[in-house]
Amino acid sequence: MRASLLLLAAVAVLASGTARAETWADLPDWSGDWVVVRGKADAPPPYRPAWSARQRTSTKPVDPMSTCGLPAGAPRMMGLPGVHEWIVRPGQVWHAVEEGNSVQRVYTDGRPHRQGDDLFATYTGDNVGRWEGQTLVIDTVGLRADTWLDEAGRPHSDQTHMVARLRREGAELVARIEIEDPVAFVRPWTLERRYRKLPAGSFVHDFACKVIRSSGDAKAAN
Amino acid sequence: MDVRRACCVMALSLAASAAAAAVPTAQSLPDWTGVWQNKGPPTDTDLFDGGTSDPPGCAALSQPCRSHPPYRPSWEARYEQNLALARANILPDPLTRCMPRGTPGNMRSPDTIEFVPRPERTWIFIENGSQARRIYTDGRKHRTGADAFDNWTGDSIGHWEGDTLVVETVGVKGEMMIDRSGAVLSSKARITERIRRRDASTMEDVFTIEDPEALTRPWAVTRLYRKVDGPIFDYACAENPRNTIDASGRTLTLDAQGRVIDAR
Repeated sequence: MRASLLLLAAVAVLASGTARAETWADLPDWSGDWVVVRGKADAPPPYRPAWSARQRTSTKPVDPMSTCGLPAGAPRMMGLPGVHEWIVRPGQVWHAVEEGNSVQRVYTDGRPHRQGDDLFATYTGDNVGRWEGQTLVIDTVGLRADTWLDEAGRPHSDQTHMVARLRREGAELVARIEIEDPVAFVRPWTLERRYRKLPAGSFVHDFACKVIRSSGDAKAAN
Repeated sequence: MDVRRACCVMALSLAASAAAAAVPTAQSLPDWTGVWQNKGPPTDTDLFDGGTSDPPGCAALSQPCRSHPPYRPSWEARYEQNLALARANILPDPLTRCMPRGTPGNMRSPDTIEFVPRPERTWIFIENGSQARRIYTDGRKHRTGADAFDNWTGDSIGHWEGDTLVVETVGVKGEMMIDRSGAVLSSKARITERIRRRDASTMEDVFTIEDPEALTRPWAVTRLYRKVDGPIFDYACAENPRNTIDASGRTLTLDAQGRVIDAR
């Protein structure tokens, strides 16, 4: 009797959408330094006609990252060169990328997306995550419209909604990403990013973009 | 003799012999969750948050907000030059050109900061910049040979002493401005930090900075961080107002009359 009551209570909690707080024991080991495995090119996004033209002319022809002070943002940061780290802790996951010191924060503590005035658009968006077994599901809204979707410079609107499913497959970490954009796309765009782990003992370098882009600044810094 | 007890005694002695190199378990890590903000001393932070100086009422560049660096004479002379520029509010600060602050100056950045411990590494994410520090606690040693080049954040190796993370940093770039008063260190600096959560709403970082080139003795600095409501945000440095750039691409710092005041 008591057990069934507990079961009922558990079902009620699940049904109400309250995520169970995960513990360390529930979490996969994604430690280490990961780099993107270059595979076949992404299928072209299913742009609406007006956006196809926009992609060719590109509203932002200069790479925002070349300014050395604008983040790549999501989802572009999933495919950046350099080292990626997936820092898994109960309640929150950090996706840190060497290139541009990009950090995407995914909250897995059961909080909902920010609402109203709090949901202003940012580069990495508002990322709410949940664990389905050993798969991390990241739901992203609140993205700025002036970032690139990928290294090719594809544009998107401010209505972008992204769901990424990230899990270990053998030696690789694999992210399957579905991007909805009712303004720019006729249907969701799916893409995949795969990461391989660097040998143990590797480390992440500093990223000082201004030194790469402008030797004058490097001199001025010293 | 109780077998279980013997086993535990052995485990304890093993732990003691492994000493500092032992990689901690996830469950043994302290709770540093949340978002934190520099509390002072405020030679840098009072520009952004004057209400939280520590000690209270401490004004920019006044002493003893933090003790004066125990510089050797030639370094002291240079520091006095920078201090004069800082007091006139025309010290060219690389941070304003979107350059990294580097260690240890990054620990006095404005905006917010996260301390993220995992068994193999602890990350310190600094909103301003953005900047990231990585402290390796997996038992590795400082880098050697071709890997041991100087950089902004340096080479940080840590170990846990209870709930305190002890960090040793070497390999920092020389001449980095470590705060807005214009203090600098040499690339020979060795920075030891003891980082812990002092109470529910305070993180503490006790620095001992040794620098055989610049300092006559170890310099002790304590920094405090208060817990704030999040979230921590992206940082887009290029959205800040930009400085003039000359024909060679070098970014210039100008005084109130529009004269170039950079060093070269």
